[in-house]
Amino acid sequence: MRVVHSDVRDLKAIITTLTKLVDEALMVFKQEGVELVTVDRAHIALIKLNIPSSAFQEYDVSEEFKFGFNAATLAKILKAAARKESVVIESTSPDVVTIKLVGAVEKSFGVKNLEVVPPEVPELNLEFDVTATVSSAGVNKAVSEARTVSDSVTISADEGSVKFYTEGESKVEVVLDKDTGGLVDIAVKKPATATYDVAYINDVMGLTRLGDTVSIAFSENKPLQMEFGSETTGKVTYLLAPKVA
Amino acid sequence: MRKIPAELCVKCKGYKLLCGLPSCPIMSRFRSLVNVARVLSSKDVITGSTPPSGIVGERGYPNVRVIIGVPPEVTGAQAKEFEDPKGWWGRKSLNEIIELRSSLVSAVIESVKVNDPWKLYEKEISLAVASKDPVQTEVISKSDIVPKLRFDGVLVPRGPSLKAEEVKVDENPKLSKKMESLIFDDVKAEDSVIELYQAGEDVYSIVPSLSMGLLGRRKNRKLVPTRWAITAVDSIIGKHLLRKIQFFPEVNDITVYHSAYLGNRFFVVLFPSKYRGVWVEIWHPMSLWADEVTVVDLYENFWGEYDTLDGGYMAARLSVLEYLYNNVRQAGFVIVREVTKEYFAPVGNWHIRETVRRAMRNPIFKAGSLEEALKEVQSRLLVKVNLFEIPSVKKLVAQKEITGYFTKSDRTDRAV
Repeated sequence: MRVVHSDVRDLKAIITTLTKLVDEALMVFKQEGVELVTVDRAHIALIKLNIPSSAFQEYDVSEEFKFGFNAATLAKILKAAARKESVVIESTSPDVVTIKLVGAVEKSFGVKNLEVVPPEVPELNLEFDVTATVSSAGVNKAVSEARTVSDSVTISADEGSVKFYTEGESKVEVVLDKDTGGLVDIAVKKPATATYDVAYINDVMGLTRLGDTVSIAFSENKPLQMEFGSETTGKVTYLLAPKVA
Repeated sequence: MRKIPAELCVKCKGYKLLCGLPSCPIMSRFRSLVNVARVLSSKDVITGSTPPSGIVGERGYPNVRVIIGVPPEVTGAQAKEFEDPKGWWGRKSLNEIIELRSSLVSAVIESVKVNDPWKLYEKEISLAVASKDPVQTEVISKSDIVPKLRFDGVLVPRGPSLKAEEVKVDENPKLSKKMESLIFDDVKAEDSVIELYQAGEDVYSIVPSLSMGLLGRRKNRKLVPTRWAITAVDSIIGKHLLRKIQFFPEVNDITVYHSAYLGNRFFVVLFPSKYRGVWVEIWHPMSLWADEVTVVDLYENFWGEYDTLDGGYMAARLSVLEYLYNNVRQAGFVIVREVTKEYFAPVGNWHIRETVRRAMRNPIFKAGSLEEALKEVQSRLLVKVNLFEIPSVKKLVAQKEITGYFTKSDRTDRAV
């Protein structure tokens, strides 16, 4: 197995995010691309990664290869990449995976391939009343404002806008609509309002660098789904359980 | 005079001075009420066995006071009774504990540099405090005994005090083998605490050894004010157990546990969930810190992050963690402490640790849902409090788990 990606920064953002949710995870290299599914240790959120083989500069996977890793260790290695550098992930034996960061100088790290049991996650058939595409900058702003005053954020949406707000003594409200450019697209089956742990949303805000927009979907008292990146370059899906009063 | 909210006093317990006053008015009033009537006659030399009893103060840090408790003329195993939280539990009333403590003379060694624990070590004073059994001790003093009792929310009450010119240890302190080897070894304090705990040493002997600067890397050893050491030991052991518990399977049932002692009633609810917890303290009107029903609470998440550090919570939490660890389970939990007016004097937080330990051996109710369990606890409280309105409980009940949505339809939520 040998794959090469021209920009290590996206992978760095993904692995850094994983460190906030899990200790270990399993990356599965399949012929069609790389997959990873994991549930955070508190069982509040699920994170799913799909990078198609076409997003890689080189993709040589003849048979399925499982790479179990410690997220903190891998994040530390990837931190060695200061700027845009290529990353090579290769393995000649099942026990060790070599990570190479290729820039002005080449840095090579051998990582032990850990035995990681992936969580059993059935196909999720969640239907959402609201599906919207919002700007990455907008959602970032809304989350950072909300977490300064509260540990929960309520999201509500109607045909024209998506609103992030907090309840309690200190109130913050951030509205994303088409006029201000915060809202790109929205489809509403019926208006919905739901509350989530803002720290858990903040944990994945590093993924907003994967694209200019984030797709969000939710219903009343149901999980929030956030999608970062795209089908072609690679996508991270984040599902967060709601807070139900 | 402006009114200080009772909630602030309950959180502060006379120690953090959250009201901004230079000393706690409730404590001052209380002290004046219970000062020892019996005045001990002053002598130049007081002899007796320290149970052992030793406190490192925090005022003046890094130059602190070290206080050794000695019951005059009481020697041998009898002296143990004067400081024996585990043995006291369920046997001694609040009055009896105060009585015992008021006959324990506090020999105060003034201005000890925290960075130099070796002075006390050379005189075997620190070893005596960490001893398993009482140690024959002599206190030489020229000052008069101050017949005052000192009370504290975290520490055991302290008896009448006198300035010690010299404290002589006249007997060999008895230490466990593990303790002896850690005193000689160069091991980090945190690791030493865990090693001692794993070797079966209880919190009440680990605290004095940490406090007296007997543990840690040799060049970094310091005296640690006892109040800090108690919470540090609770949290070091708690953290160690939590790291293991987080990988254990969840409990199957929703169970309510209960125990009570010294006017403090404890209810613990365990329910199937990943580790997370809530601490609720309900203070009755006319109890020490509150003149009206006062409720304080805090929430701890799966990662072991809590809103505020509370010594009482750390003690209660340790007992719940020990229970979970011994049963190889993890759980969500709610601990409710109801403090009645019978608890008129604070005698330290040892009774919280011990009562919750007892509670975990006494299941009183199995519930079908967390809501039912909390309603049961609520019905057993002696004052009317709506547990469901408490912010941390709300937070606990509100957060769903994502695994609850791992079903064919998206309509199945978990009960909790």
